[in-house]
Amino acid sequence: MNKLSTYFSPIIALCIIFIIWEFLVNLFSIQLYILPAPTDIFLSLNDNLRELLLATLNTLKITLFAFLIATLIAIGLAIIFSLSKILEISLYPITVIFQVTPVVAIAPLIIIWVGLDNAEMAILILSVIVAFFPVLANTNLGFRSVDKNLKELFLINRASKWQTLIKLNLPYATPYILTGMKTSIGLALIGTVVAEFVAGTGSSAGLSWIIIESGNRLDIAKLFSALILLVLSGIFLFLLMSTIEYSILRRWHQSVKENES
Amino acid sequence: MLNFSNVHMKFDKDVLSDINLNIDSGEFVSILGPSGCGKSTLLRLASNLAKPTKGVVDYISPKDLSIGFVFQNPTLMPWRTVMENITLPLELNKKKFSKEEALMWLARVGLKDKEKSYPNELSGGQMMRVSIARSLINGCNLLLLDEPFAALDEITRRKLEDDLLEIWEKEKFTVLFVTHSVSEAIYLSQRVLVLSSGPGKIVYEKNISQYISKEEFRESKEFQAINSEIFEKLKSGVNNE
Repeated sequence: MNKLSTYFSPIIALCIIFIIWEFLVNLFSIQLYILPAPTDIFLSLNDNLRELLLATLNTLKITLFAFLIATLIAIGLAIIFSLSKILEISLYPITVIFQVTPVVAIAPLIIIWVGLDNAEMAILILSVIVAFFPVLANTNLGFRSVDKNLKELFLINRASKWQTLIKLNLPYATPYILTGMKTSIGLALIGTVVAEFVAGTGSSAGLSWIIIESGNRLDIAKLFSALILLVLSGIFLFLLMSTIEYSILRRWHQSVKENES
Repeated sequence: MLNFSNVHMKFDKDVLSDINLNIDSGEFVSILGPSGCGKSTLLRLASNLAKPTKGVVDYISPKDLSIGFVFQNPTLMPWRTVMENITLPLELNKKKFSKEEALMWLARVGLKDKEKSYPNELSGGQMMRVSIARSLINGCNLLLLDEPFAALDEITRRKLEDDLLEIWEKEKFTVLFVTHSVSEAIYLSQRVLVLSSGPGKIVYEKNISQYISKEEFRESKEFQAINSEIFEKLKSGVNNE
């Protein structure tokens, strides 16, 4: 299979699905408020473009911000865990509690704590909670996987803890960290959207609000437009992380080298 | 240079027992022994990575000590270029160094034009050369090698052996070389020690006379005789198990 067909096959498949969808909606005269045809959705998207794009930007802004904070917290925690075994056994289970608790369940608490008029802050915090664990778990795994002989090499050269962290552990764990970040960036988007649903009613300007509002007004075409933008945002974030990963690992990592050859 | 007196080492069971060994400055000593006889443990003790359960490992002048360690795998950092890999010990010891100095070491191990390559662009032999240059760059006076050439093909192996000897003859650092290969040990060293297994003890010691030409020596009858002699000792060391 050549490269061109790898890119175009899914696009062609999607077009075929749209054509069949359009045809079926027309054939059975399905009502607009049940299932709009693709053409209705694209018309709605065009009509509400400004509002929808602003909402998308707002959701993306919070997602990226939450993702960055989550990444920094997670790498920071992993570094602390790598330096102190006692802190690791004490704190790691607590981070697991955050991971296994559904975000919807803690949302009301966070909203009360930061104040109802501070919806964006509540969404940000909830999104960070959802997104930080994969980076933490992967960074932790990366630090534990550091080659034993390389560690000994650093010991023989009397490297300080700081030198070992900066020159060995962090670079060694980089592919692991990036894998965690790739999972995390998708979770940050999900976290933001779910948090907007719970916290954002009325005061939030994200895509979730448009979905809730158009759902209530049975404007299903607009709801679908918002969904499409949400999906595109997710794809954009994933591609962004993949590009960052590729540019960092391009020269030296087996995973990238193998894909190229 | 390096002295082992009454060294015992125990993990779950005894690994090394009653090791008494004195290595002079500038000497090239090889250690032969069956798998699991504690050869690598001996190197770890010599490099201070491990402390003996009993006995003492000490150095003649610990202040000036600079240890180079070559592992069985090249143990390079894949995210660093060849140049950045070999200068690592200088960086860690916060020593200032010139690019010329590093390039000189690359040239000495035959990697003149590879400074900007990454390890995954090198062959096994080239990676081992980088590893050797890295172990020597920080003014090494005690070089410890743990079966460094075991994974290489015969031709690459012989070339690397000769290159190592050439550098050693110029720099005169002390070498402790662990290997599985009897002929490699005889060819390279001035003294060969044979360890028995379970627990590792020095059961035989052989001084190798200096020859004008190493190549001639390798082909000589005497080389074959020493080879058979050491091989027999090695075999009886295994049988002791």
